[in-house]
Amino acid sequence: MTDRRLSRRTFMGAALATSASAVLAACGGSPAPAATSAPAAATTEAPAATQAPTSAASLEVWNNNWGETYNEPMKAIGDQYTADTGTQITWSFNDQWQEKLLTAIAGGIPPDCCYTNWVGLPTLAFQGVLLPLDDYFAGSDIKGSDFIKAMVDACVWEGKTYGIPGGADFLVIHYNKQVYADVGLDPEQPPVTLADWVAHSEQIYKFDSAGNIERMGMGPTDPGLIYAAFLFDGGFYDANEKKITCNQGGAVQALEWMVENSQRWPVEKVAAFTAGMPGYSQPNSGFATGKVTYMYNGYWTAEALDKYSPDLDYGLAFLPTLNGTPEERKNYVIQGWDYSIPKGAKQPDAAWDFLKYGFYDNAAALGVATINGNCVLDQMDEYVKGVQDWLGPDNRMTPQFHIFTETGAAGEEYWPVMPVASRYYDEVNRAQDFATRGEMTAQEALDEAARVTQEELDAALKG
Amino acid sequence: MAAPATSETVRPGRPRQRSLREMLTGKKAMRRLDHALSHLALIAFGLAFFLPFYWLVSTSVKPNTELFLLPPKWIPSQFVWENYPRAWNYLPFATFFKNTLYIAGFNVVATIISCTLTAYGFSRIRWPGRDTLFMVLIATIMIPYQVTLIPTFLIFKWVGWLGTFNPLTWPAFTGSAFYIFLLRQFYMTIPLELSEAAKMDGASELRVFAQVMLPLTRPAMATVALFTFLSNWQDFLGPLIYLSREDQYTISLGLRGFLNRFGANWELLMAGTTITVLPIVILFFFTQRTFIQGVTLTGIKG
Amino acid sequence: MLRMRPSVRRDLRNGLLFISPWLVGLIVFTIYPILASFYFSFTDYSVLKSPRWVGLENYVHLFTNDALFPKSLTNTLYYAAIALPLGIVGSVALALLLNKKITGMSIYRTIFYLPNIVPAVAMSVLWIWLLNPNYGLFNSILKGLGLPGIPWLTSPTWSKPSLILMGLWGIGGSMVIYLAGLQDIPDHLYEAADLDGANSWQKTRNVTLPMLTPTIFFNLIMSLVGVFSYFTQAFIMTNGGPIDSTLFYMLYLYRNAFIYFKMGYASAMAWILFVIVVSLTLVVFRSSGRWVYYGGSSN
Repeated sequence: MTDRRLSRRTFMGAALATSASAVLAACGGSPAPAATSAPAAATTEAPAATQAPTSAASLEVWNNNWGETYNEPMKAIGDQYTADTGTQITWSFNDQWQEKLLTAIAGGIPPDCCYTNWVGLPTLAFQGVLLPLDDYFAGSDIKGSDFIKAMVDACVWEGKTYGIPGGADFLVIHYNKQVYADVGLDPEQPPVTLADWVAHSEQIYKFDSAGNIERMGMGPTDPGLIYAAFLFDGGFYDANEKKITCNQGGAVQALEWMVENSQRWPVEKVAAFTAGMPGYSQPNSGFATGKVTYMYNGYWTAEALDKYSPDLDYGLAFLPTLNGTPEERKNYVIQGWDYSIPKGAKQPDAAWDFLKYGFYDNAAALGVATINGNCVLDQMDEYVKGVQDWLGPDNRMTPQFHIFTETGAAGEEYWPVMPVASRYYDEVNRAQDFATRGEMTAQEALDEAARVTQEELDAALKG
Repeated sequence: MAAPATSETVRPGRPRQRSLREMLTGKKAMRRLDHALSHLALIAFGLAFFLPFYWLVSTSVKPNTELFLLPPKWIPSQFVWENYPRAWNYLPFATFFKNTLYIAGFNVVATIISCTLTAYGFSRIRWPGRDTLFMVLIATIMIPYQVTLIPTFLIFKWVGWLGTFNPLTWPAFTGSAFYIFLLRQFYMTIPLELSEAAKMDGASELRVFAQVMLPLTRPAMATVALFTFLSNWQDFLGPLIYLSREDQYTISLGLRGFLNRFGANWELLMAGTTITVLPIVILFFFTQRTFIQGVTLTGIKG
Repeated sequence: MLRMRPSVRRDLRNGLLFISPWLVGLIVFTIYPILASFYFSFTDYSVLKSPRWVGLENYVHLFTNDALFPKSLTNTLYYAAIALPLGIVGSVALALLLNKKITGMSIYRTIFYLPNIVPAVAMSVLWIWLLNPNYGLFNSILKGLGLPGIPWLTSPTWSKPSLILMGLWGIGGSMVIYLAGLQDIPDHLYEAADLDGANSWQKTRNVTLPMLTPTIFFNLIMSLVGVFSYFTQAFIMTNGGPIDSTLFYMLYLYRNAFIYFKMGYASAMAWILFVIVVSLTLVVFRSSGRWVYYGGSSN
């Protein structure tokens, strides 16, 4: 199977690469430990969950369904764990993982450990169905500050840590240099400010006589309100006041900016243009064929780009910011996925051993193997080396790979941890849709999202 | 109710003369014209109904490079049959088939048992309160499943059946109002004398049911079996709610996962869809008469 | 109990025994769930924590504070108001066309019926592709005819009509029912009309359609429930979008129950729907005296 690119050999190789590297070259300024993410020291008795390998015959592990390309490497980690410890790992890759997880937990048949993400984890944690991992962290000598700050902060609700960071998404702009050259832009000068980005796109967009799009620059809703709000120095949540803030300041300005863009490039036209178009991981993708000039994505794109479009001339760039200064990169959103242990799991200690093995001890190797961003800071060198080995020295992406890791090092923002995280996420996206399709003003749409979510939040906190 | 006569009628007493006009408007010609027009309309509609199937199959054997051509290729330049094994191997389709067959098969057996018994009780035995309860049965057909969805889910949670096939199978033993109704209508048409005679000979109700009714009502049972099978093959929400691991997935859930994973690999998606649809299309062709007869049964004499 | 003759008592016992499978089902899977969902509709219930009584709060919130509730309801009503009549007209028309003694009738019937057995998920996947604005079958034909393409599922204006169009593909099922109804119409009625010199349109108008009304009535009642439960296609094809234009009632209910964990709230929605469907069914029943023709044949 050609898609099963990552063999176990790759994983092993990466795992054995550079053993002791402490310097955080890629993840520059080592972030101060977050007050919130420090494992609760004064908690009750620590479970016997540390080195002593808990003898579990097998563990049931649930993951999101990413498709074969990314599911297979996850399995490789399981295989490696089995080889090392004798514990079998049974994977299940579920669409609608959140509903499936809820159903399983409610039914008293939770898996031993499970994938969650920044939206699902807080929602589930608030329902009281995830096991706090603080004692396990403490017992294993792992600190919250060992991880990328945004990733671990997104796992902490009311002082307790409910997940261990698994993979981080370091998202950057991919742009088609050929298109740049064709329209008379300098292929070596990607947009730095948001205004640049719009200006370049103005030049790139091409319409036919009927007004249908033939070539796209940035999308009218790029990079998405969740990301854009922070670029405008906005936010979504005031954790102290427990207040929804998406209808104030930067978030509103960001959406207004997106509304302006959607007046230039109507959302409906763009939707019709991109409907059914193959995604980045498939042959003839919009980006590969030059129909779509930009792509905001992670480095896993390399795989498909190398396979299907070896001649495509593309470049990488930091996500443009409002003023284009490097300092603003702290406004980047770091998202990703985590692993948790559901309450009621039959072998929580054994599950923890597996999580620690996969997402801490071998985090760098795992990042390489799963084509994800590594979350453990002092393994960053090892990780970068592993990825560069994987890409190979001649790969188009290799010289620019630092843009991903610098993005990961700089970004501090994440989706707020709160009881109705999942609902809020839906509401913000709904506001974006309504505003950019011209059904409401940015302010109206966000007021509505804030009103609805605040109500849900208040009810949740009261109940 | 009968319409007033307005159309041209042949006046008696006048010698028949065949004019061109008459040849075009005459009864026979009219019928011929009518048939021709009907055929035309049917061909047009038939084509419209058939085209999606054509598009399905033709896409499923296209090379990936021919999916996104404008104007599209109606006939693939080469037939890429490998799309089928590729689609089949990407997901554990064999497991999905096995699961679906298990659920559907279980339901067929359980539904037949429960529905024939109940229908018998509602049609061949007279007892006080029967017709009132039958009205209740009819009324339950009108209850939207949303109303019972959540508590039913909770029942299975309490029993500990979430994440198993049981919620999708065992309830079939309690029958289905619609099929009971259908079978009862059928049982009503069997002359009472037949069962009375057996009873006179001292046969118990159960024996009359098993030895007189069941053999006489095989076609109706076949219909119920077929419909039960089909509706379980098609079900999506039930498996979506109750099944949790991929190795339990039914064909519909699997296909949905296929869509998520392969976004725009339309040739593989269409191959997967064809794989899903083909078995029941074949089943349909072999059992067409039972099908049509069944649909007919459901419709008449509400 | 009343005093009964032994034979009556025996029949009662046997009757109840025979229907006992269904009776158990009625209690466990119908009556209990209905009552339970009524109770849950007055609670805040996430499944994971025990239900908390909140009185009328769910209902009040639905009617005063939740913009998506009326949205999902109007979407569903829109769908019902267009898909139901179109479906009836379409399937009756097809049945009328097929009801002539035409050669190849069974082939046509097969073609029209076939889409009806395609599972909803398969149908959805296929139609996403058919409706693709760039490479789909429909826009290819439109463009071939020199017409502009339609944005179908990507546009809030066209999304519902797209789903209705897809629904029409499946009218073969009811067509076959109508066909059976047509073949039940006694020949002597047509012969009488012939004697009166009626032309074929008049016969259709004055004999066929009136005689078909009981079947139409039956079909309408049956599809009423179905149309309010519309879920799978919208869940798979659009998941409610764009901008909630295909957020149907059941889809929103499902989200509340299984994504936002608000089972109590979803139960209130279920009960409101229950009341709506029951009322509509009653309206149809009441009105049936005026348009359903119960003459002619016995029974």
